[in-house]
Amino acid sequence: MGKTYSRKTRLGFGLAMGISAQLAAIGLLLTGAWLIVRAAEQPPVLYLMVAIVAVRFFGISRSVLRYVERLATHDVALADAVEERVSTYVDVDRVAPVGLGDLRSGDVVSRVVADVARLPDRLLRVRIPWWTGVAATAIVIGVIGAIDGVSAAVILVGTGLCAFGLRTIVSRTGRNRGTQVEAQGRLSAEVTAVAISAREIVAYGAQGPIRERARAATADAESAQTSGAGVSGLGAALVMLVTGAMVSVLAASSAGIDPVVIGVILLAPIALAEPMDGWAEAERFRPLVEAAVERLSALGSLSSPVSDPASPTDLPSNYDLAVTDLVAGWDGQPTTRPVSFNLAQGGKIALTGPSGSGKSTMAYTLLRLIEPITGEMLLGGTSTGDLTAADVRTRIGYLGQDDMVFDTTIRENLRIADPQANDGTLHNALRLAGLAALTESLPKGLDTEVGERGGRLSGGERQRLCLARLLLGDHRILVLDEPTEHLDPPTAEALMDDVLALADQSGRSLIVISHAPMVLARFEEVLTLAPDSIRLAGEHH
Amino acid sequence: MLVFPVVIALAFALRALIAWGHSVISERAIVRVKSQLRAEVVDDLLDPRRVGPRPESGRLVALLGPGMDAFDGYIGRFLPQLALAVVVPAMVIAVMTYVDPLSGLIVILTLPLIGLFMALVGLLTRDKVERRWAAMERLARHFSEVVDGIVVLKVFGRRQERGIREVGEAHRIESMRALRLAFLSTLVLELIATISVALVAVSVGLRVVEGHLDLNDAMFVLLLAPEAYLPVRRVGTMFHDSTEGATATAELLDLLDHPKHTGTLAAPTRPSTVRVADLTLTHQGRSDPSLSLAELQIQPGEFVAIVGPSGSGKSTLLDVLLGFEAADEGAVEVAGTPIAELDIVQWRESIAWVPQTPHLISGTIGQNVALGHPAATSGQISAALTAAGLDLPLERQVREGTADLSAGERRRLAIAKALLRIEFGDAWLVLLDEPTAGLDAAREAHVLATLRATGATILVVSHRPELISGADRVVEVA
Repeated sequence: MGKTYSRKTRLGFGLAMGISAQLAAIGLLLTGAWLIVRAAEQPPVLYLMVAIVAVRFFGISRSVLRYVERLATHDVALADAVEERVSTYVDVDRVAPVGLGDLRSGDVVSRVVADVARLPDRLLRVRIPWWTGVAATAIVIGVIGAIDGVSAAVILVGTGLCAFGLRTIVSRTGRNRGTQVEAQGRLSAEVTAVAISAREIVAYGAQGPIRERARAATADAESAQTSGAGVSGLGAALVMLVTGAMVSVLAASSAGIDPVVIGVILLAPIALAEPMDGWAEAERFRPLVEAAVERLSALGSLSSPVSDPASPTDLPSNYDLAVTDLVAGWDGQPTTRPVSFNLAQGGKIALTGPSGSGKSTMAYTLLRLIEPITGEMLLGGTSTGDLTAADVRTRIGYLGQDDMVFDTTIRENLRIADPQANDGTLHNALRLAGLAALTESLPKGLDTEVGERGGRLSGGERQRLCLARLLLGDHRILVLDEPTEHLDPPTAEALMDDVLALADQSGRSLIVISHAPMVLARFEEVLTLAPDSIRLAGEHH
Repeated sequence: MLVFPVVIALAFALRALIAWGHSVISERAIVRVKSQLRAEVVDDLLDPRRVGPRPESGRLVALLGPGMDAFDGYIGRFLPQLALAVVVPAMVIAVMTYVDPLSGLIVILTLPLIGLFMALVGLLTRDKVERRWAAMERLARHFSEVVDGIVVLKVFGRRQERGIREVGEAHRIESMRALRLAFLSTLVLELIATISVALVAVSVGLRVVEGHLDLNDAMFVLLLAPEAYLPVRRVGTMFHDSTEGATATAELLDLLDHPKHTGTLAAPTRPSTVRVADLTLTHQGRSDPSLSLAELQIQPGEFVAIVGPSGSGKSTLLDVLLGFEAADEGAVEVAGTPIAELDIVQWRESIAWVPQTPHLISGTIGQNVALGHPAATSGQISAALTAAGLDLPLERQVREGTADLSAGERRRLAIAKALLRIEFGDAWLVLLDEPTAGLDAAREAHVLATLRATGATILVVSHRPELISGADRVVEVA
């Protein structure tokens, strides 16, 4: 039923129910008081019937209204969170992998999981209690004003002071809740780090100092929370103080009024304690919620490492690649020398160079995951700067050294490249990558779960699964970064044979980054990324 | 006449003070319990005696973040409220019975209904809350995978908006399912309480009209009656907090429940023979053993290469020697003593290990290299780095994981770490898993020569012909 109404309607409905529920609760107590005091005057029972019915009505409607309110508002808030999570992902996707700055991956995950989970509280536990509480209180003050102006003024001042006190004193002293959220983020990052490298830490007997570090993060989170403990109950205490003050002032000021009315007026502050308690609770949550919102918006304001042109050119179908004086690097610091090469459609080239000469950085630049420091790349005659980065990557594919294998089945890992692929196609890709024997030996075949980061596969199996995945994609230019690492020599030879044959068959271009002599020997054109000399090996033959 | 207002104000002030004190004390208690639990999880992750696979990081983040927040509701509010729910109604009933026995009787008869109903609700909600929690975990895991795999996803142009929306939507639906039931139970509890109070009110009211009950007593009873139900109702509304907290607790205990090393024998401190015989180990979800090795003996000072096709369990063999995994069958012995009987911490002091995918810890390069030998001087650290063929400033800060250095650089850093431990620590056995992957031929030769020069016993797992040809002996695993 929720889907047929707009968010606004559903929220409005929820609010109306919330205000009504609060009024019903207040009405219950006040008509109850009126009933008893009036009864003491011993009128005929018939006179009391209306009040008796009203008490029952308020009693039942309070619970029912509250139930409907909670369902309606929770539905809205949880749906908001789903959208918020998606937009946070869009933020991360925009800047990752190189634009996340100093954010640690555990921290990013904690932001998306924990902070987004906290966002519904902004509506449910901060805004709605204020909105419904203020509306219900205003209505009650109006009604009492019609009976006795002085009492209404006392209640107006009392509830006003309470609201002011909660918003300023309690909310301000509660600011350190923000520190709590920060501390929590650090803690998540620390624990994630420990979880990932626990074996190496333990193998080197370094668990002591690392444990101390995690302990320190835990202690930070703890002390931030402990110092917040004094504030947490302050709001509720303030509400009770104000309620007491209002009752005693009303008791002193209402002498001489009709006793039946006094009974009702004296109970009004106690009835209004319910919405005021709601405000106190809201202020307890506000800093937590605000800190979460701030952290999420900080993620949104990170700048993109690659910017797309305002009006991108259409992707040319030709995939000749011409690279002129391209320098790759991070944060404006070049890590390679200028590189120039031409790779015609279906051509093959190898990049080599000593460890640390920026081969992988060059690969990221070719994929437009980072902007080149200087130089130009033409794809099919169009500068890659005039294309969207996503378009460039539909042409240029990449196999890295420790590529991510997702914690799902072999089938789903492969389908990332081609969601429509049938089992025959998948098996064929696995065969080409030399993995056919593995899936045949597994009882569940393609449905075998590979574990977190592919942990249930060996290093070589992981690498070949990634290769099979790449082969399934539509890319016309494949950049392979050390494709034969982790493979035994016969498998590596076979793999290179297959890759080269496959490239020839399908007309794909190949850029292979490697320093294995066996790999380089298969390329006519080998480009060295050495810091000081760039030469085409072929020219010297 | 002024006494009454002052007494009222004082009574409220006293109640405010007590309520505040209650909240401070309970909040502090939660904080302490939570940080103890967190410390326990970290300690467990870093427990050297832990055997078996490490828990997934997404699961940990969900458990230590939102999972711990569930404890707030459970330990901080539910449990204290449970105590109140027992004590307060009893006191209220006693006072009410003294003032007006009939009202007291009505409360005594209606209160058990609430308890009965709550027990029923508990049985019903349990399963829903567990499913909600599972959906939450799925969400955390999914997102942490997406963040880690963002390069792959970008290469294949697979934006994950839809996936994230779907997993989020599943979580929303499970949440609404759990909440609907929780809210419904609150509704019914409130209705029972309201009707009970109405019973008291009507009986009191009618007796006042007939003149059988004094107005003061009637007012007193009417104001007191809801207080008898309030703590019990609160327990009801907090119930879904509590089940979530209880689910998180169960999850946490499950995490901490795994086999441990119990061995206490002293490990040999000088180079000794390592022997493996008839070893098999089958990983979860596989029908074929991940590792199957008939016989392997390594003499002190030997350089043994292990070869075999990818997936033949070469890395698993190293895990078994390090005591991270326990073999299903077979013998793994050092100087004739099974590894399982050794003090595992002491045994690992004899080992320098270079894993296939080395990770960094956040800190400086120097701290990373000196991980196994923190007493090392900066001169010793630099020497180890140079020997491993890596030229990086010791003070450079790196973040944990794999992001800040290339795979080759991380491997060389791990080799430097191992060298430091052999030369200045107590390690005599070197376990190398594809140590020179990502290194060029010249650097590889250099690293090998350095390792051999230490005189340590070396067990290397590799495909590299250069490494294999340099070995004293080559053992094949199938």
